[in-house]
Amino acid sequence: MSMDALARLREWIEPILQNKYSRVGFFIILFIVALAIGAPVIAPKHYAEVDPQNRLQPPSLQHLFGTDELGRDVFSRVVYGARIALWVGMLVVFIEAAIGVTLGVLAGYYGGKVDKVISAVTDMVWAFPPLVLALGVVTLIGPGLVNVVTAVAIVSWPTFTRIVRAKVQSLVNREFVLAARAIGESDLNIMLRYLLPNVIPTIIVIAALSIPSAILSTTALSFLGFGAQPPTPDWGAMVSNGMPQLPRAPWVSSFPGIFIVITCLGFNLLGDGLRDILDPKLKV
Amino acid sequence: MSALLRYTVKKILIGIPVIFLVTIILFSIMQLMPGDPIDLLLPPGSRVSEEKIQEIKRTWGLDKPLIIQYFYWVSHILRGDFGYSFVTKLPVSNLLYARIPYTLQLMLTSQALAFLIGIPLGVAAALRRGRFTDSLIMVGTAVLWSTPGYWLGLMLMLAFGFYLRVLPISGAFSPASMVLPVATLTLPYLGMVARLMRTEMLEVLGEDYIRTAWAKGLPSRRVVLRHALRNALIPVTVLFFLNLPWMLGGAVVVEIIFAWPGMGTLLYNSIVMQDYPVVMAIIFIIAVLTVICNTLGDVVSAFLDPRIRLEKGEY
Repeated sequence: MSMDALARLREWIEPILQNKYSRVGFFIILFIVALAIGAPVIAPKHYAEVDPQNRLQPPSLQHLFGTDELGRDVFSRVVYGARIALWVGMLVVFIEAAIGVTLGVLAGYYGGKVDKVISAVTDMVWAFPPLVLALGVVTLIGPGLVNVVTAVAIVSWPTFTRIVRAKVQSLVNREFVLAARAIGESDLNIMLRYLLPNVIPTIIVIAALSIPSAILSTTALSFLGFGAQPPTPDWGAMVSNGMPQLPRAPWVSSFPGIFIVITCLGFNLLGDGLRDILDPKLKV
Repeated sequence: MSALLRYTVKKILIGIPVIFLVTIILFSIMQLMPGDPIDLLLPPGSRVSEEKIQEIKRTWGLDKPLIIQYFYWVSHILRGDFGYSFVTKLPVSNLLYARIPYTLQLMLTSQALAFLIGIPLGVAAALRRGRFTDSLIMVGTAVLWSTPGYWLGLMLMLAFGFYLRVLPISGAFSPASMVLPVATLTLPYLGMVARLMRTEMLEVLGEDYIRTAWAKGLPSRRVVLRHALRNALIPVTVLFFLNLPWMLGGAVVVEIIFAWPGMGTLLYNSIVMQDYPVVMAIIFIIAVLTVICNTLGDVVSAFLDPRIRLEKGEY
């Protein structure tokens, strides 16, 4: 069984490694995941450990990325921050996919009125600038990381719905679905066991490409002060922490930002590669 | 032409209920928001009699049932009257009219630059597919697209404002004030435009009619410019309209960083101060703008590509 799983994993990873872009993306993400898992070992200090004697120290061997306004080690905070970025990115995309795929499959399968209503709602949410809408939602439910995750997910699921709906529409009259209907399979069964498996590759591609947008939106909200609250080492909040001393201590803002860029780049490159492998005609 | 006209009318008719739905949702959101607006109308720490509170509520229309408040609000905003700011006591429309030009200036300049630079980059990448130029452009645009605007803004501020001291870092006092905010807003979008342009160009270059053009022995400039570029530009043109509302979202953050006196800073300050009428007005304007841009995008694409208006489906 485990050999089988290993073989399947290789089948997946080999094409990713063959494309030079997705190979880079794959290793970037591996690196970030390693940081996140190994944080307690890699980081020399705890992310919340203050040291008033050593405030705003420039990068040195002792403090690779310098220290912030409370004397906290920026490197340690960046390393622990990888946990938050990955967790937030994946959670947002999971919620988005749960809402988006459900609505997309329903709209595509039933068509008619169901489709009209779902499409209207999707269009409306889609139409809004996500950050502005998320700002509205956060104002409503209050600040905090979990609320920011909710807000970003609530406003960004339409990508999934639009693409999944179109995909399901193209499948719904194919022979294998008609055959399933002919042998009396229930609607729910057809959607879950016949349609959904065919949409999974597309969902994986959208998910990979949605993680960077999710990270960018949530860190932007944290940067504005609506997301992670201190001392959570959220990269966006860290960039904003460094703002008042920007000319004096540029490292406080610079390093967390560089890691946001690297992480998002990794997912974008991987996502592009996955698209070429799984669903080359998809336009996201 | 009549097919196009019918398509246009249909798209506009779809847009109107969307705007109404938006007003209902906005109004509900604002009703559910934490904090009682009445507190903001009273001087802090003052003791005011119940009659006085009732009187204030009457003046501001807060005593009516919600549904009445809603219709009251909608009928006013349709006339461009967004009520009074709870904080400054000035008409919201005055606040907005002072801010909108600044935001538009920022957005339209960035949008134009992103397309002017992004399109040639995308075409260049497509024509040199798989070679060094292509890789360079693809990696460069992927990096830009992965960069958070707020951080890019701070880094540009640091480099050009603090170290080189060549550009102002906040406010809107001279044309030079625009450079950094525009750059911050342009760079990530430029990446998106270039990538879309490359994809579309590659797709068109693989079509039969382009192969025919090559086979006929037409000069390559002519094939690329007349035949390929014209068709590849259609989705990119549509993106121009679809992107405007997204640009507005990016503008919020950029305006805050550079203290640009546009709608973004106003929205942020109003959210922080719970100035509901201002928040509602701004989001409403953004919603209307969004619906208009989407409709324009649909119509323009139908105008440029006759296949679209003959299709039955929505998407």
